[in-house]
Amino acid sequence: MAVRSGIGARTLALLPAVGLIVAGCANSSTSNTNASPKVVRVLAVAGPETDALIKYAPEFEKATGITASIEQVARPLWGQRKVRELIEGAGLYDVVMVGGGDDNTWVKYKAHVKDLSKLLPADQLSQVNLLDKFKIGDKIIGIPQYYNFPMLFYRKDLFENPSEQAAFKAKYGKDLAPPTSYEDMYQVAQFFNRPPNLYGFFIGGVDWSIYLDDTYFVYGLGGNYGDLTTKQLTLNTPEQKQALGWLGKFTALNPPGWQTDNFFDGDTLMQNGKIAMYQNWFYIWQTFHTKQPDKIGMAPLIGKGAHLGAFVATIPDAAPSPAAGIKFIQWMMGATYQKEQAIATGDLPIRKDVMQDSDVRNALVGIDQFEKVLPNLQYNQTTWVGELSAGVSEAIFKVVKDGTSPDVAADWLQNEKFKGRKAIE
Amino acid sequence: MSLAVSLRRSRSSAGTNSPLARSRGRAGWGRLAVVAVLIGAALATIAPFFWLLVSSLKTEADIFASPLALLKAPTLANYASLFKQFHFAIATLNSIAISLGVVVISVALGGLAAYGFSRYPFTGSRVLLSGLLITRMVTPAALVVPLYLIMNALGLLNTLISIILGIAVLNLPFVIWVLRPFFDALPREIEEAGLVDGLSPFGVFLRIAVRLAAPGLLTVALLSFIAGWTDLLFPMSFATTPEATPLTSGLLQMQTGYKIYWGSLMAGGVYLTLPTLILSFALQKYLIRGLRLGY
Amino acid sequence: MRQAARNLPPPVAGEGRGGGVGSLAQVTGRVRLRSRRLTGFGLALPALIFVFAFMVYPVVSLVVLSFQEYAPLRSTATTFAGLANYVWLAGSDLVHQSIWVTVVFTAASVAVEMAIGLAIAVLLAKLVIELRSQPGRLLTRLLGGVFILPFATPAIAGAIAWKTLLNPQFGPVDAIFHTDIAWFAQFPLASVIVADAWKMMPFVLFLMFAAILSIEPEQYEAARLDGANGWQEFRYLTLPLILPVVAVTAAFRAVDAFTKIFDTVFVTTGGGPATDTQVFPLLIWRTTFDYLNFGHASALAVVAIIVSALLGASLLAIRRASST
Repeated sequence: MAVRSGIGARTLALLPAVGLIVAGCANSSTSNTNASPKVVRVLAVAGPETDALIKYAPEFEKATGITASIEQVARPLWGQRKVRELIEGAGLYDVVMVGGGDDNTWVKYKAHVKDLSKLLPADQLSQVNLLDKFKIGDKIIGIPQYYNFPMLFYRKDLFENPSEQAAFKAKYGKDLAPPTSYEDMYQVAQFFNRPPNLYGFFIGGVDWSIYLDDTYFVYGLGGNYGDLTTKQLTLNTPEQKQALGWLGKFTALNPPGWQTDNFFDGDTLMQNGKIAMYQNWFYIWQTFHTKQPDKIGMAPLIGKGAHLGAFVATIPDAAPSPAAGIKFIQWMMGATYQKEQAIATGDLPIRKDVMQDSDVRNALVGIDQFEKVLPNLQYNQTTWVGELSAGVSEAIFKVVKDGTSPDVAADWLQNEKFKGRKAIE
Repeated sequence: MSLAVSLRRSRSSAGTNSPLARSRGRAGWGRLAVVAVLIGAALATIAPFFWLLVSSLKTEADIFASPLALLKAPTLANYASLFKQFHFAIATLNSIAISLGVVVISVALGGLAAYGFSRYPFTGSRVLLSGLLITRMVTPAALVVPLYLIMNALGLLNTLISIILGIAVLNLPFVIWVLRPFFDALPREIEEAGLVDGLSPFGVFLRIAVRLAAPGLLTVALLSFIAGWTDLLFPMSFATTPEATPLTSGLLQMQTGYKIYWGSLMAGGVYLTLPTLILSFALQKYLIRGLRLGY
Repeated sequence: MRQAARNLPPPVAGEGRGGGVGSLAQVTGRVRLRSRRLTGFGLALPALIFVFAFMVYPVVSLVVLSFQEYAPLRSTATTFAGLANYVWLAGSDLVHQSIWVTVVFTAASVAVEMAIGLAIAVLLAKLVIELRSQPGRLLTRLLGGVFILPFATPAIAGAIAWKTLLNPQFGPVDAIFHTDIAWFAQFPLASVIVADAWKMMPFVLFLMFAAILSIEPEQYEAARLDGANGWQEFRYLTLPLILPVVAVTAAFRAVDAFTKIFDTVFVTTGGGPATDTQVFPLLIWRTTFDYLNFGHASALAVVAIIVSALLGASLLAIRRASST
């Protein structure tokens, strides 16, 4: 009968749909049972250092027979992914890369990660520079993949230009040179601020980028966002207020559109000759000094401390195959990979022996400058940097856009915005 | 009517100078102007997608180098990168599965409910219908908060089912709302005949009402497919692994915060849009009817 | 089936069509009525259960959670917090600013898409009425297909398209006018409004179009005989007649814009610069997934749902008022 065949056709049409759904569900269920580790799943964030991990991963695979599945997550989504793995115990990854400068504190106090002091050989651990930064008590929460910190980059061709030097001397009565104080830096920036072709400075305006610039000033002035002993927030200390003030002054000398730029855009602007100075992680020095050696110069960041930049490899308690994770970290911290990575990315290796390797020292021009800064690296001493940095950005924009005084903005941040909050919560 | 009166007063004598003749003369130019404006508006409407398409066929270098060039050494490299770098093969399967899942749930549950509301109203059905209209207004981002915790507790995060359920529950009230008039419009006699013949009401629904209301069901199926295909919020919130990520949230991979893979992003945008575009163009009659009934 | 239909018995009394014939028919009628009601309920039950399980129950748990503190970054425990989350919400500048941004966005976006949608609908309707020939029909079908494009485009794809269009380095807008304005950075809310109005214009367009077409052609003839030109025709004839539909459409669009704006903003500005375009749904999402404060997020979500319910109820009222 016509009716019956109609029903049949409809059911037939539904079956593939149901089938696809079932297939989709089966596809998406990640197996948490790994008898013998064939795969190590790594959660990393998109960036040049992760590119290096991926590039050299075949060596790891050849040596161990374990496939490295390295997932690059977009930065805006990295935060929730880290928390899902390390606090909510999602159990999808064996190795989770966190940020050494911002995640250190919450990983130490809140995250469920394995103690690597017991899982990695002592002779390897002893080679790691600054390992204490990643310890809470005796527990090692993670191993850094590399070290990077900000430096000051400036237009060497302009600074060494005789007519510029003469003009500068005439105007300010001192020599034109890479600045060593914030006041100097501001003078130089003003001097070179010649819109629309050249701007004196660059500070990236997206939340996380401008917050980073804030850290340069705050750490440089000797401050921090929290106190580990009192566990209180330190958001309106004199250092914080001065930092906000400087941000206000320097962003006034930015090229337009900076509000949605990040420091990677700053790299492009510097290479295109649009800005006179900016602060950035020194990984970019390799590009600058090979491609435009006469145009761009590097100087140490001003001040007493610098932001610790590093991806730190942790192993979640809920990792499906921690053994594979350990092998991955051992390869990552090994001398071979550290040397390859240093030469490929321009980042500092974590190992003391590799730091002394002559090939590395030749490749990393300026390494002697880096070595001086290395001991002074700082990280954010609060456990909730995501929310904190958004609030700090709000305070910064109050100063930078609305013209609020830095003192008022800093007091607002400490006493109103984050009233009742603590550094370690 | 004061308008008619005031216009009559200004009417001149009949003949070639009559308002009707005058308006007919004007009509020629006026029509041309109307068509011109409409074509202009159509071009403006199509411009963003057109530009996306054109740019997606350029290499990334060309995108920056020659912004206004239309077809300069077209290449499919960006499209290839979608499959090589960004897991688009499995994302496509995921999108299809999600969309079909939403269609199945919406049409099955929605069809039954709409038929029930239409043919067998019960006490409180009017209140329920009003309630359904209000649930349509729920902010999806607000619903994600408890659903995320529930899915987490059920272990359904990173599965397609959680995404399908989230999208379907917000789509279902809309579907019921759109389908009810279709069932209302059906002639009751045939259904009565079916009941007399011994079919249960469910049987009548399945064998008679569904076939008679097929255009309505097709409309609703199309709208549900589009809802499932285009949703971003639920995939973004529930699924983080490549195995469970559909095309919409898959596109987010290309805005890494470190750099934007513009070429791939554009190609991905075109790739994502083409299916719903083709469906909408082909079935625009149903779509438009659905939009109208939904309001 | 068709044969059976021809042999239909006369309608049975007691189904509300005719008077009762006798007490047996009345009893049968009542029994049938109850079973009809049960049938209706039974047919609607699966959908109702589904909505209950995945919307009503979650919303209830949301309300409960809004009176608690659950922030996994601080502690994995859930503790009772009374009205603390709501107190925070009431006093938070961030929340106020977000609501304000959303209100401004809604008002402007709806105004723009109503104006443009209505204008195009009027012109398109004029064309359809006047061109009854075959090429005319083809043209209108083509135009209809084009105008439905923004609806068929997923919001994220539309956002990417506008990001491309308005990009200062390679976008055609800046290239043509020889400017280098970063539209989404310097005019963030305006750019988002334009992108969203583009996407939602088809709704308005087709609703207005249908409404205009439902006006009897005789009225237009009469107006033309009286010498009315296009503008007068619109102002005094078309507009008053479609005003109810305009009101309902605007109300629907306003509610949709207020509650559903997320994709476009997330992909283009991310809520920035700072919090300039952080619309309310985005704030809820960020509080949940970036700050991991579920107590705060629940309070925000509850407020959003209350607003939705109020807007939905007013919508029902407007709809009822304009259909009478």
